[in-house]
Amino acid sequence: MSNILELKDVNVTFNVEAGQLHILRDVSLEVPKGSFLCVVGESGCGKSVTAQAIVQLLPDNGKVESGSINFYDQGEKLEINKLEKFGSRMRGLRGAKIGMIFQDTLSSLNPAHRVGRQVAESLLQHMDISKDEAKTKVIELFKKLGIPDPERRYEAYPHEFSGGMRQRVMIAIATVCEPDLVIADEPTTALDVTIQAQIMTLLKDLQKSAGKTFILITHNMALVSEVADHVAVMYLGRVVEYGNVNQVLRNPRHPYTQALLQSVPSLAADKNIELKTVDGQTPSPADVTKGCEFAGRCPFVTDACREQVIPLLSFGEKHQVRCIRLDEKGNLPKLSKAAAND
Amino acid sequence: MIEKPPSTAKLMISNFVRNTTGMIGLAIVFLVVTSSIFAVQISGYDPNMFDGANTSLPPSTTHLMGTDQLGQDVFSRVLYGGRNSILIGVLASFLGNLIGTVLGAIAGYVRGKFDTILIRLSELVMTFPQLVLVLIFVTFLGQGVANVIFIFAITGWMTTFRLVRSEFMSLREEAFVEADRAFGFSSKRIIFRHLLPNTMSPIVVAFTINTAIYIIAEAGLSFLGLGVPVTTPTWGNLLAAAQAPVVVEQYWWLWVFPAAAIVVFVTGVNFIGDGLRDVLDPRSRTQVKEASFGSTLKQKIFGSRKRNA
Repeated sequence: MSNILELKDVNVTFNVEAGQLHILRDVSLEVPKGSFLCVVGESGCGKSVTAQAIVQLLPDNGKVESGSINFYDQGEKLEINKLEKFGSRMRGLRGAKIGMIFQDTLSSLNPAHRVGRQVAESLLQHMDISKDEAKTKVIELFKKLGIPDPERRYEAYPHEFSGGMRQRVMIAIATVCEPDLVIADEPTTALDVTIQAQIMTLLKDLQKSAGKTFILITHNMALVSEVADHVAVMYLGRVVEYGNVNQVLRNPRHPYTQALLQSVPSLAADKNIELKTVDGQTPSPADVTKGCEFAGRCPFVTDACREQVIPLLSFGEKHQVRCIRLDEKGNLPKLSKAAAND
Repeated sequence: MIEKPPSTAKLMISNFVRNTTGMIGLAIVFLVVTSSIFAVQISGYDPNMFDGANTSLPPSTTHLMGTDQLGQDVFSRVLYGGRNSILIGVLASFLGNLIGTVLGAIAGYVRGKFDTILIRLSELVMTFPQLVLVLIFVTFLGQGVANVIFIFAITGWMTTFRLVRSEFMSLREEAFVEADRAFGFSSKRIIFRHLLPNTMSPIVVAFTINTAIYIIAEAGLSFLGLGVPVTTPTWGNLLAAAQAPVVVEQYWWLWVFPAAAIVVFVTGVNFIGDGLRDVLDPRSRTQVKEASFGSTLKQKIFGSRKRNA
């Protein structure tokens, strides 16, 4: 299948008072058309920055330093990072070709406007249709997205909606123009679990029925196992492991992914055993040296890990891991008991 | 027919109707404005008609506020003068607010050099005594209703500018602005269609306050003989008669009534401003009872949004 989005060695830096922070390091991702990619990682690992870089909406002090971001619009290749940030071409992509769903639904909707108008506005901006047509289309979409009483809801204000309903409105805005790619930045973090499941089912349905490509940014491993086709695990601005969902979740290779998965609590677990956590703290992006970013917390660390830029190694079918401690079969060395207790 | 939830504007109007101060102000302003529109019909005299036989008469049943040295009916002139004074106040305030709002919105949203230049310019204008500035402009442009409006607007846009700018500086960081950008909206659209409705309250309040200020400023300027030409009746021009000590002492009706008109109207405008502030600013809503659960909820949301900002 052809790719809809390709990131190649993308480096993003932020200018802060203390100097320059290297937030994304050589991030490469390939997103096949119609697939569901999950980007996971802890807070501050660069998940959201990756999304912002794709739509060229980095904060004012952020900048794509090098690398290329290519988007394929019906086969036509667009080099996003070469387009003018707020030029008409880029604005034509945002919303129309690349939809965005945000985490905080209350503050992501304009409190001064009725929600129906906010959804319709996106349509009117990108498509040549009349206001009445837009309204009909929005009400139809509301119905499809499971918003009850859509005609009346069209006229309501954001604060009159519950969190789950607001997220449906956000999804409506993001998908009303039928974009090929939808980026959802932690869309369910602010919602409770049952609503979370509803929203995720909705997104998955959209992917299957409408053939849309999704990039879901999350730190919720349970969600990932439900919806993802591919998973990219990020740590401190680098993709440390990439593969399809079975490869990454069932057979994680990178020590960080393994630690991350072990720290997910499960209902079947023995409640007397303390939950495993990833040792140590995430270092600040300012402290990163040239070796492996995870070296400071990794039980398998050797001196070699700290001294070189770790290459991305491939195992099997497109399962990529950024770790030099793996043998040719992709297995980590056995830990000696002493080292494990360290 | 689908029942529409009331719009924010409608909710605010219904709250304003229940605001006593605001409604009193509105009644006063309405009364003064309509009576100055129908000045001739109400007073029964042409404000510019000289009557050599009835000069300097004290108030009586035929001339409610007496006549001046030329025999012109003072009541008619006060009402008629209201037309120009109110016109100057409202238009100058509107124009000044428009300039301030547009510049403030752009400066607050775009930031950068444009913002720096404008904020320095506004500081420059503000540190210069306004009266001196107005005098300079009058010297160059000459007297006249249109000129006074223009000069007031040019020298008075800074307060609104700063107000709107600071509102926009906090609004531009809101998540929905980021969302707007991600939906491909142009900056122009985000500024004027999405952010401006969120700053309407302080702008509306500033508009009423500035109207009152400009009416008083016009009176002051005309009193000095620098505002509107004496031939055009305004409250300030009528007051100018009191420059002569003899008028102050013996012909009190020539200055008391125009002065009273200014006081009454400005008070009315300020009452409206107070009422609007109560209704529009969620933090100062104390006497206003909530219309429904919906509006309470909204207040909570709007209130906490403001506090967070």
